[in-house]
Amino acid sequence: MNDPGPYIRDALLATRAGLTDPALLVDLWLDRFLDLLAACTSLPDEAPAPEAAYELIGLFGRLTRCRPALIDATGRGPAWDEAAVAMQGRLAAWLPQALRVPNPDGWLAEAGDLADACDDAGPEEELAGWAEQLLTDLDDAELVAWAARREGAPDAALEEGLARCDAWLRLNLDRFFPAGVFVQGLGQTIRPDLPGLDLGLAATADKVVVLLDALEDSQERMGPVRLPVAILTESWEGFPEPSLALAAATPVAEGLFSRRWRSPSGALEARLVAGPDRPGTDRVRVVFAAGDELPASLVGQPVWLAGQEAVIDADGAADFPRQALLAARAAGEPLALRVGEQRQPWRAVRDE
Amino acid sequence: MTRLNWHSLEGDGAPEALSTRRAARLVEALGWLAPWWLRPEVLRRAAQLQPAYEDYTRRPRLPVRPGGCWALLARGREVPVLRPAFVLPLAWEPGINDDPHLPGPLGELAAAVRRQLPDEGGRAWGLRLARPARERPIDLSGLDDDLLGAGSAWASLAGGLLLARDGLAPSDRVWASAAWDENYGVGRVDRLGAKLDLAAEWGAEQVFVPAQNQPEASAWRDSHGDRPAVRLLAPVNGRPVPARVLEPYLDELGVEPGPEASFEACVRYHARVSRRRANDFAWRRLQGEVVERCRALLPRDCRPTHLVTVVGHEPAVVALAPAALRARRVLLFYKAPPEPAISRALEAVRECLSAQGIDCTAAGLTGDCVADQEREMGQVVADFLGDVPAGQSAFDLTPGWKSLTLALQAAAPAGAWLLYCQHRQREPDTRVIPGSQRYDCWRKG
Repeated sequence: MNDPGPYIRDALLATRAGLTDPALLVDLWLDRFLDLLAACTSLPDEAPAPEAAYELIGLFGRLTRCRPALIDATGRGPAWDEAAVAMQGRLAAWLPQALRVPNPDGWLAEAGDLADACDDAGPEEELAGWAEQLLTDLDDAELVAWAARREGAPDAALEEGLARCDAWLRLNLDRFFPAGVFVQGLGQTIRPDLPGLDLGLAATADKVVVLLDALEDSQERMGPVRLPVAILTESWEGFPEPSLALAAATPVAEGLFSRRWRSPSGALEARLVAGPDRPGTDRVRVVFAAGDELPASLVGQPVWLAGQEAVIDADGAADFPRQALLAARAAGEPLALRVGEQRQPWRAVRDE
Repeated sequence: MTRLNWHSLEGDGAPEALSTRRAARLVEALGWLAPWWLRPEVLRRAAQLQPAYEDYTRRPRLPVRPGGCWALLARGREVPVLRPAFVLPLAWEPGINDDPHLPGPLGELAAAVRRQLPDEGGRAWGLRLARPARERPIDLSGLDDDLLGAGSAWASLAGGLLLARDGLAPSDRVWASAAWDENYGVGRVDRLGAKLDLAAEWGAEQVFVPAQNQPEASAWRDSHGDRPAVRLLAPVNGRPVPARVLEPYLDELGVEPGPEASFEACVRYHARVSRRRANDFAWRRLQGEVVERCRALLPRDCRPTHLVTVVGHEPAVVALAPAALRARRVLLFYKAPPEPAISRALEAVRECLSAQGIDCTAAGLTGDCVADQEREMGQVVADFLGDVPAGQSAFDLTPGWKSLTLALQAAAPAGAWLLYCQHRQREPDTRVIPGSQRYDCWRKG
């Protein structure tokens, strides 16, 4: 059996239960990278805005750090290869823009706020999102610093600031536990042979290793007491209750309920959106998509939502009676999506 | 959570040319901000594919609970799928840090507003995105200021914070776009026309803008009419004080507390609005409670049945003693011919006291000096009291011109109760603090 390397920990609950989704992460990063690169190169004489350059270089580093099999699985391996070459040719020119963005002191201040929020037992979902964002921010900054070193133009002030951020993180690992599922998924994207390929890039993944170590320690000591936020994606929480109020003129303050699923290959997506229960809204719709396109292969296929059957129509949509869904919820059915004659389960994903 | 980036929205052309799928993707990208930021055509296209998005085609509610505020922003660059001007709903909340997903420049502005308006109670206030409960969070921290002009949200943020501290809710009919200027208090804003267009479309009745923007405001009014009314925030010289600069805005922004509101909340509203509005509010909403508080503090032996006083400009002051004493009959003097304001006050007092079963008699005084007025009063008072014992009568010296109250004191018979209402005043305009009134009561020797 291949050594999974330091970035994958099968002992961790979410990893073992298959709740993490590295393929989705890589797919999203690549989507974003290709879109952003196209936008930034469409005006050849203009340097991209600092934020765009920063995000691009961060994504470039993160994708460079990825297991090649995950990039191939997106079906856009050649596009990545071509884009990576184009990006390398622009790194030197765009780095000065990107280096204007990172703010280690700002990160430290926000990390302090996160720590306070953890102490105050803030809402778990919010803490998870916040911790994930902070980790992503730190990762972006470290990847930009890596790119600068690689181009022979290290930014001493940034390096010094990042060292302080890293020290804070190592002293406050538990603050990032709410983002444990994300950390495990992030680790699973990293190629196991990274240190041998690029030691500098591997250094940007050190924080993942120490966080995974800490998560394992915690799980060993306390047991898997809390299942991660990702589980919420299959819950009915927030699904609009039947309402007698005919508030047709104004949307309710609670907003719209939505859930998202990915096909097993990761190439297709389904999204359920449901507004308040009002006259004329007796059906709720799941829309299937392949990016911005209609997934033609799904048209005419049967689909089950919480055990309720419908057929995907020519617009790539399937409608379900609201009352039937409410009854399914009352009967204890999970809000799960199955597609095709084989009733293949699609994976619920957290909204990005 | 994905950080929203303008680049992801800039690639699309005219909304009419969007496919329904692309429109739905844009709505997904913006989530709960879609109805605020996307052009209606985009939302309608998206709703063709996903009917639930019909909800987004209706105007969403502004955050009108205490702490709510909304930044009226406009983009400096054309992005076809986005509105030229848009609203970002926000909320100040006590005891929390700023939302890390705020646009960076708005977070900086929130910190500046907090520094300008330190909380006397020492409470910390954080600014959050006012996200509906069911919706997923969106990270706006990557939005740059070139396209936001966050500085123009200063008046909205400061107004929202000042009201929040008083537990007062903002009116969704009152909008503002004004930056802070260290020298003049208010600083001009950009792209005012687009902002006024949006305010008009969404039913604002008043929009407060810096006086420096008067030319654009006039031009807009000439071509669009006077709804919403554009009101100017005047710059000041010297050291501008934010709360003072914003006074006219706050006067309109704060919503009168509902019938369930506590007396203390009502008093905070009274302090926040203009004197004219405060007096009207005190008369309509606070008078009953003020009367009961005054009655509770009256001496046990001070229970006159007949009361004589002078009509001043404020009916609340005139009607307070008769109501607190639960007098049966009241004699109201006024200088004849009465000024219009005195006539209005007299009418209001009569109406109020009559509704409580108190019989009111009014008497005009024609004399020009205290001695003449005292003589006139003496005769009328004698007729009014008849054989009522002096100890059953009271003379309230609080309202009216001083010459008339001096005459009234002189005209009171020996043994009658004399009253004067003590109260505390609020700086800087010395308005009476409702609930602080209490009567000094003594017998004329």
